[in-house]
Amino acid sequence: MKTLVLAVSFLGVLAFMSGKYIFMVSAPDNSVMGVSHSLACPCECPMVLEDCHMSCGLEWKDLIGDKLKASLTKTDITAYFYKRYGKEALLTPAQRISGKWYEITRGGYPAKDMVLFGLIVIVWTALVYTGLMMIVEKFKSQKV
Amino acid sequence: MTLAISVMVAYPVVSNAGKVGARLPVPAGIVIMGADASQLKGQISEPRAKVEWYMDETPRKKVELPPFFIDATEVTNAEYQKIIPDHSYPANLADHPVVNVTWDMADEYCRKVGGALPTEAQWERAARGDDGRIYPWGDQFDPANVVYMDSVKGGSKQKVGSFDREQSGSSLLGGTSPVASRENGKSPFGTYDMAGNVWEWVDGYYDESKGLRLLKGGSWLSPQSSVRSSTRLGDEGGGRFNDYGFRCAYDHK
Repeated sequence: MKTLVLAVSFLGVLAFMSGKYIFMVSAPDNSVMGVSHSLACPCECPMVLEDCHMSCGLEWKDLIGDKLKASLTKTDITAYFYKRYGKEALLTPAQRISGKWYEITRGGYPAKDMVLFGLIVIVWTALVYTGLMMIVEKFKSQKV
Repeated sequence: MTLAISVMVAYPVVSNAGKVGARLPVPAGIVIMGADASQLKGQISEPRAKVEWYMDETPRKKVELPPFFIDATEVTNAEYQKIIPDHSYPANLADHPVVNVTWDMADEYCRKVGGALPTEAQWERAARGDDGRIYPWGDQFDPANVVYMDSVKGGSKQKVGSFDREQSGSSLLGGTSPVASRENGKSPFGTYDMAGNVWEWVDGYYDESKGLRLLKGGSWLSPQSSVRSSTRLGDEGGGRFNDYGFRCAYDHK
């Protein structure tokens, strides 16, 4: 039973951290990074615009900066990009996952980073598991 | 070879001789501008497009206009160079619309040839005729009538933006087509490419408080919903892009 709880906790933490990295906006909507989180890089790479540093991506980021200076909102800017470029400017969830994966692995498979990420996940899992067990034990002892 | 023949059959190359530089009369009348929210829901058909992005077209309204003349085609590179001799362009793009022009450059050209940029009302009148149609040719979308994102690529082989320094290239390849290349795409008054090819600067503002000028018509990069004649795009007047061009309008004399 404990092994099962440990495995579920591990997978839950892994899914949460991956989802947070891939889908959650890390910057406010009125910033270039906040807006570019929702757009695709126009270069050949499959990256999310916020991670793209090629000149074509930077050109789009400059455009976003200009629009923010003109007091346009994230919705206004997304609409502007869609009107000009259509679906090519937007990301599907699958494209977002693939773009983030490309961002991590484009320099090869970073073994050290992956091991470090795994260790962080394990430590977090252990902390969550220990916390849960302590709460369960506390309730058990109160019942007795 | 088979592909080339099939492409030619699907998108016949039409000569633009006699059309470039022609000024067409548009009679006095009532122009139907914009669209109502209920109409937009039926017109914005792409799965990922949101109606709220096009709400700047609402409400639909009627405006009375005096007669005027308007260019039959977008201003071409060759025409632009005649007036602005410093303008240079690849030799094979002489009859393509001039691009990378700011609002001021477009305005200057039109004034030099005795006209002005069309107002939004004039532009929509020329594109939508008397019946306020959705596209210049009618209410049903026909991909053969418009140079837009799903058209055969390879017109001027341009890339998005001005990525001359970009070695890896862009995924959004394509380009403009010669003006008046879609005979069946012309409007009731005979104007060409009012849907697609290049966005066209018009007189007036999209939002004056934010310094945004107005563009109409969609471009070779745009989706179907953006090549409707009521679509509005706002951008800084100083923007120079390879999907922005213009045409001029003239007083009725």
